[in-house]
Amino acid sequence: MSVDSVTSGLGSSFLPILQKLLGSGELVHKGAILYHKSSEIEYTYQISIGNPQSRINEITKRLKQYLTKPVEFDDVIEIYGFGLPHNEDLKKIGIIKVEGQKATIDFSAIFKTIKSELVTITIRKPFPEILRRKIVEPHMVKSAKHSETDYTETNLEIALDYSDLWYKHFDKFTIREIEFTFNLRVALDSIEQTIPKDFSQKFIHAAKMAKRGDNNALQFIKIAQDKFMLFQNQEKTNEMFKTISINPEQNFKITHVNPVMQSCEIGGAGHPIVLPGSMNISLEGRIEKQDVALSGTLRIDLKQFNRILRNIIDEIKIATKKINF
Amino acid sequence: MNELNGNLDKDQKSKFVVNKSHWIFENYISPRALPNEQILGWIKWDPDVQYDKILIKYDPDVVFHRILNVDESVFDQAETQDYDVRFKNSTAVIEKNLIQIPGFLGFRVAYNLKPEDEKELTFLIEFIKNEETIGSVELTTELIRPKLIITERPSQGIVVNELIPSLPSLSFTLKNMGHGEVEKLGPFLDVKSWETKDMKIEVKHTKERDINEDHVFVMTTIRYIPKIIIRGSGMGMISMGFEYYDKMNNKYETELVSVPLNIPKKENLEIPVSSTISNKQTLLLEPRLI
Repeated sequence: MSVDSVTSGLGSSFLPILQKLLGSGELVHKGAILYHKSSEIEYTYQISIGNPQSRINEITKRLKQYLTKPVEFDDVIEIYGFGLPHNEDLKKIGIIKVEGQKATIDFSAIFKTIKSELVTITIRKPFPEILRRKIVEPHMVKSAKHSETDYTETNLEIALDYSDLWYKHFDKFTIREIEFTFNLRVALDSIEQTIPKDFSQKFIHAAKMAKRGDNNALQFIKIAQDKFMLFQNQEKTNEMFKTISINPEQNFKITHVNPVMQSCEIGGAGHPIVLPGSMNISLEGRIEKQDVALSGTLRIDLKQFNRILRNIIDEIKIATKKINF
Repeated sequence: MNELNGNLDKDQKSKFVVNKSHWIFENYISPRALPNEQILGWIKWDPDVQYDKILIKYDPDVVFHRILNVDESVFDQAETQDYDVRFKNSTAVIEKNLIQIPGFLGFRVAYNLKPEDEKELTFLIEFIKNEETIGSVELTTELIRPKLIITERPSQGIVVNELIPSLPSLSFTLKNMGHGEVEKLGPFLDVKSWETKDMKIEVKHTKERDINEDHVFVMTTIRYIPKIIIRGSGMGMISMGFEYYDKMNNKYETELVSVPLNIPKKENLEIPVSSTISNKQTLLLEPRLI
């Protein structure tokens, strides 16, 4: 992919006209935010248009030379603009017009009617998927560093490619919602370790007896499964959130923690039981302040995680106290 | 919880040493990677430093996928095959004028072989001015993999008879000596014939265990193998062991036994896959990972 094709993808074709209108140094700020997950880009322009008196001669001349009709934009998701400090809403006064996904900005009206000296315009558009994949390189190291009982930790990495394009066109750029997903596998061993030994024997015995059709054993397993399903409750999910920490916090945040239940054979007993087989964790990262590369860490507190697991085991123990097989 | 089966108990932070100049103020590389996993690395330096070019020297088994934020012409010096880029003499040369963001260079690479053992991969980045190295930095990542060894084998065989309703198994205990996580562990049976023209070996397999048949099979991760049929003559090898994958879906094997085949004259043999146990035989290899 050539750099030029990336440039055209940034949709900044109206910038040259704006520069010509304003002359040098008057476009005070150009910013962009790429929403990586949804593949949308938001351009923000802050334009210094001077006071109404100073504009009359020079700008009118340039308007006639470069711009005779409103500038059109396609595929617009959202567009808005204001004059500051007088808070003139460019949509309300008809300078920005939206029809479906098309929008127009009447720049000549801006210069003729706005009393404020600063105008901000924000345009949100779809960002080409193929560019999104090429421009941002997110990666989570597949093999976590694991401490036996205390924590598990892995590395998050983001690097931008073709980022000279951002440098060329914008004073400030941010990439948000860079999504990572992580599957924390809960090994059966951990459940067997968390269950007190006498109770784990009861589990294995229940699985063996259930295979032979013992009703009490089947009831025991059903209660246990129902309790393990509590992992999917909001309350437990919130507790799971607290077991996870991310560094640096200003660049990464956790968005979802979903336990994934799966059928497993405990203790090789031959009868399946549904257990929380893995935790699906989604994160979002962001790169700002014109940086082009960022690393971080995701850490899961295993002691806290096991405490949550142990609480559920205790509930199973109480609920199945009177069931014998 | 035992998430990984790996024992990443040592500090695996990247090592940034060797003549690192004070004006290289940030450097990073993925601390560990599996074969074929993306390794991301970068350095940031004072953009006012005067240099002519930057060299990235690396292990010859590494392939480059991208050098980040450089002009595409950097790749003119390389042999490109599909997605993989290899530079001459395992050295990427990046002239200063090809760097698009002053003070930043990044790369995305992968090691595309399966190493016998885990090892360190080092990338030496050198800044060259008037053909002399004015600064350098080493970025080191650990190339890891799962590595299973058999720690316990069954000392006795198993006799199957009508008094045992469920199929017994020969249990093996395996230990992961590597840092990569083990996925999809199961037994394998592999048959190779060296003279394929005269000898045809067919592995009979089904997706479902047929309990009405003799309890004689090897269970793999995807199918059950009740018997091997050999027709013709020639030489070959039957291997049995355990296969497993890592998170990048790289496949590994730990061999248990290899039996050479030598059939001098044409035969039509049906060999049950079995252990050597009286008349009713079985072999259900059951690995357990510790």
